[in-house]
Amino acid sequence: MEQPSIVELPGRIDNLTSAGLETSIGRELDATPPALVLDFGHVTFVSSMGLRMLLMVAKRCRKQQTPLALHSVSKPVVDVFRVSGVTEFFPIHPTRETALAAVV
Amino acid sequence: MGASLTLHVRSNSDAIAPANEAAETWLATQKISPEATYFAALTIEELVTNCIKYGYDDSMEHTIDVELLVADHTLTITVVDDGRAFDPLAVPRPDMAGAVEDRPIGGLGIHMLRELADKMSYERRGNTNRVTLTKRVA
Repeated sequence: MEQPSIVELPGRIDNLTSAGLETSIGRELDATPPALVLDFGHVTFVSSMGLRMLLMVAKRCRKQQTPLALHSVSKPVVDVFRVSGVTEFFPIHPTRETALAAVV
Repeated sequence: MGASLTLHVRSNSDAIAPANEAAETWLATQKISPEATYFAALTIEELVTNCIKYGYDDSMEHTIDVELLVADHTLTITVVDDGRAFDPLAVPRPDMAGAVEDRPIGGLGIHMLRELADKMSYERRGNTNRVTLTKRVA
């Protein structure tokens, strides 16, 4: 059975890193995994450019019906999702285990 | 009495990362919350990027001054540029309802800052734009 794709994101999802991340996450999605899990454990910063990239990923997941789950998201990053009105697109779980349990 | 740091950021996108590092290093020496540190990084990234992308009518290098001040449990950030007049508070709030496909691309960075700041103000002074944002640090 195929495994969900797990992507560990870097510390900053900003104007410098977003394009590269969109490409590498896109490559994971090209393989149509049974689910995509984004590990936010290292992420301390998401800019508006980073948020747009994450929205594109969520959009693509929805289009190709790949369940998406995020885990280990820090409070300041959750705040940014909340004030941007995008929490509904990013199901957040406390740990990788709970994220995997939710999508598999 | 408070503590402050002023950064002179060149109007070049390569200058943003070093400015953010300098701000982060200095903020780490202040007793402020992770939310306030994030807010400072977001302010620098969004306002300086906007200014570089849309602010100038010429192709010369300009300097954007970013002052960080921590006093009375409040972080105050002032961003001053000599670009064309631009009031971020006059930007309409993006429509945040609807499906992921329909979300607006523009205006999101300013929207985030307005929502996260306790106060945000704008002033055109001479040929400069001054945006001042405040946030409680604890």
